[in-house]
Amino acid sequence: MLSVRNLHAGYGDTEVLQGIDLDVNQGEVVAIIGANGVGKTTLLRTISGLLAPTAGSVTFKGQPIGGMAAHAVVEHGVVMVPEGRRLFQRMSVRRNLEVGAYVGRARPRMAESLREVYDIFPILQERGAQLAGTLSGGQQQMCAIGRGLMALPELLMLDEVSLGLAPIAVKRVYEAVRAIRDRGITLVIVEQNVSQALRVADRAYVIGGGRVVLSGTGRELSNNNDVRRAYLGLGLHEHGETIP
Amino acid sequence: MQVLLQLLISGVLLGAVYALGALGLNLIFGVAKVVNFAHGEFLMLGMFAGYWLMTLTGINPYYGAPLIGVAFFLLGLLFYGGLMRFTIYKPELTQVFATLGLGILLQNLALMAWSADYRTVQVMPPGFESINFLGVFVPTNRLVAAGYAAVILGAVIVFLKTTFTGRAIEAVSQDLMAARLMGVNPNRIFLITFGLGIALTGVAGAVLVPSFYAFPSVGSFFVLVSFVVVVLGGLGSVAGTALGGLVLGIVETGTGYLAPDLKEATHFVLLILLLALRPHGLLGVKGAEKETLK
Amino acid sequence: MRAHGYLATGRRDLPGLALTLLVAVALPLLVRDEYYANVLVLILIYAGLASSWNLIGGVAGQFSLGHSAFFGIGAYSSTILYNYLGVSPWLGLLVGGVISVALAALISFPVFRMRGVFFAMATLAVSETIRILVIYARKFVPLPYSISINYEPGFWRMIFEDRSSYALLAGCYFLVCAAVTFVLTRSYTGYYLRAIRDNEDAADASGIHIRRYKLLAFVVSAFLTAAGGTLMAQYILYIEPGTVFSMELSVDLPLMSILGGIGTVLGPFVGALILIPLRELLVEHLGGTLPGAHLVLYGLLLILIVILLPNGLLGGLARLGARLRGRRPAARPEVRKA
Repeated sequence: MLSVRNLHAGYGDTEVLQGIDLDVNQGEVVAIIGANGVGKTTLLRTISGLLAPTAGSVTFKGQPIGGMAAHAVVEHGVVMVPEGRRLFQRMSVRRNLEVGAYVGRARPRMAESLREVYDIFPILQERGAQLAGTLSGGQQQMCAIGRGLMALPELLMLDEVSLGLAPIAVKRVYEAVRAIRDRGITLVIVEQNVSQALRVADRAYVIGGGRVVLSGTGRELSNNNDVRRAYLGLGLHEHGETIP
Repeated sequence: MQVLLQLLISGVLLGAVYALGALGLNLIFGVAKVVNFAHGEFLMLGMFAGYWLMTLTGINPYYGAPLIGVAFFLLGLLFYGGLMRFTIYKPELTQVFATLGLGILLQNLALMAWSADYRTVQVMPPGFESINFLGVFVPTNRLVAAGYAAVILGAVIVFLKTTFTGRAIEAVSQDLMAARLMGVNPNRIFLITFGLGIALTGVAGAVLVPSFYAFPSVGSFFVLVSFVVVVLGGLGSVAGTALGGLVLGIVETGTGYLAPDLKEATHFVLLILLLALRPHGLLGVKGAEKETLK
Repeated sequence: MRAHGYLATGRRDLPGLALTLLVAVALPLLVRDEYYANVLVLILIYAGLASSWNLIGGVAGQFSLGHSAFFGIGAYSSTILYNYLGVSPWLGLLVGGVISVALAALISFPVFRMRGVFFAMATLAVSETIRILVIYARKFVPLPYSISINYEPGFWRMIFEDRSSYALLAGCYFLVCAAVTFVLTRSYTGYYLRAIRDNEDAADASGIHIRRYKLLAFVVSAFLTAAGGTLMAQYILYIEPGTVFSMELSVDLPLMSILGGIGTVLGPFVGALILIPLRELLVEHLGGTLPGAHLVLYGLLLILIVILLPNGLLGGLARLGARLRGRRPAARPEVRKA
């Protein structure tokens, strides 16, 4: 569904992405993990149209979308839930969700979409009239994801959704992620919380130094020694002893 | 006691008028983060539009204001498409100078075209220029203008809250990046915002000309007042503009009664104090004054 | 560039240095014609004023729209002291400078809390307030609205017989301003100021004492601007609130700096060199017949300059030079898109 080839992108004179290749197939959940600052968010921003690539291509369902303006990318069905939630603080929860259905094709289905979002996140219906800025971190994250869903995405990209959340909130968020996947929406998840991401992902890519350094299924990477050492703080000797 | 009531009512009427004049400035600032230093000149053009409409066609500006609004909406589109579009993502001083330059341009074009003479129109039938309300002297022109202000402010709030475009405008003013991720085309929103902002300003001018003299440099007075109203009420908040206008109107009327020569200075002093102590005004959000287009 | 003790200078600076000396000292001695000498005096005083503005507006990046306050204070201080107390304008200059410094320090408290457009608005408001207060002060102090200075040539009166002498004085004034800018930009202070200009939050986080450096630039700028006010008053021999506290001046100084190259040492001079004769021409040919026509062009000029030449002429030349030498010109500073 999504094809990224030799993608280069950066800010000013700094090149962050130095030739990314990856694929996402329809219905999959793909995780993208890597250390801080390695380019995961930059990758999502480039795919979503906030940043223009300096080289390489991004193709969605056969259509080239690299360099397309952000609002046009959304119309094609690729929606990103940005890092840090970025809710409209001075609007109510309900209004935030409603604005999410701004895109042409999402507007007529707004009422229906709203019901579906409330299905996945009942707490949002409860707090519908509350100002988004007054919600807890976990609730804000749910609102942000819900807002993204309102745009009727075929591909939903989540940027660091577990950042700053208590473990129980993270658990709920990932329950919702599974629910979204079960509804047939393709997911790309960028995460620092590697264990959760790998558990839900079908496949995953590890990014380092602006490139893909490792890829495989979720299980393969969970068991990969380098990954475990680097991101999970664990290691396995051949005999199963942990490395201190 | 009578004096107090007079001051209050005069202040409220003046304040409503100030709020109407500042609305366009606030909208454009809240959404596009542009401080339009030519705002006063657009107001001046609105006043002249009202004047010429009445003088050439006999149509009363109170009736003709909607027409002027449409014309100024187009002017606003031109303003954005022809000039401001090139300043949006550039350093701030570009926007300052571009609007400053436009202001000087417009002011002097008006001077060349219409000379420095003071103009006004006589709308109310003689004898009906003011009414007596509880012993208070109420100029009818100001009353109509204030009425217009109330209706327009209400309409704008409804538009922003209920229509998709209005909500998109609010979304852009709160978080541009998030709005873009929702499929909002920023260029289109800026275009509409400038159109709307200038239209509101034009209407404000037209509705003001029966009460205030129109002349090419009248903009310099109003732009300062509008700045104070916007900062006082809170950047980006429409309700704040209404409140800010009322407060300023009352304060100015009071000062005008006690020390008429210093009336002008109160605007400046108020502005400096606000910017220093409470830049987000009465109803604005903290930190709004540090916002740039992100 | 190597650091010569305190300053970072190099051979590249020589042509600029030579040009500055030439303009500031040689030209005034050479130009004898009264008309051209007048233009030269104005160019040099404005070059100095614009350079002074450039210290806070260009190098430190704090865009002030209220510099006419300092100019006016300088003009009024020396004029009142000279006319009513017989104090030499050379001393009056210092007094005006000190008062401006005090004002700058005072308003720095509220005004430095703001950035960008709001700083501009605040300085504008301050300047206008002072103008109104000066007019209002006439209620309490017996001052005429406009003050004239008697034409009595004398060195200690800072009044000269021929314009060339004025030009030389103005040239020295410009030289001082340029020298101060040069020293400031090439020193560590300049380095910190540029850091503050480019990204104040990052500079703050790096431990740079923001307030101290901004204040330094502001205060020096205020002093030099006031000095220019005194010079202008002694040249024109006539002051009134409308002209010395005018917003036009507050806009002219940044405009000249932008036109020539904001933040550079010679940019303001280049800007003054172009703008002053241009304005004289416009007023001559259009000012009389159609009131306001020359200002229409002026407004248009403002718009075009700021959109087409954000780095000014010197910036444009630098890019051209880099391109000719086959090097990629540095990216234009632009605000990052979302």
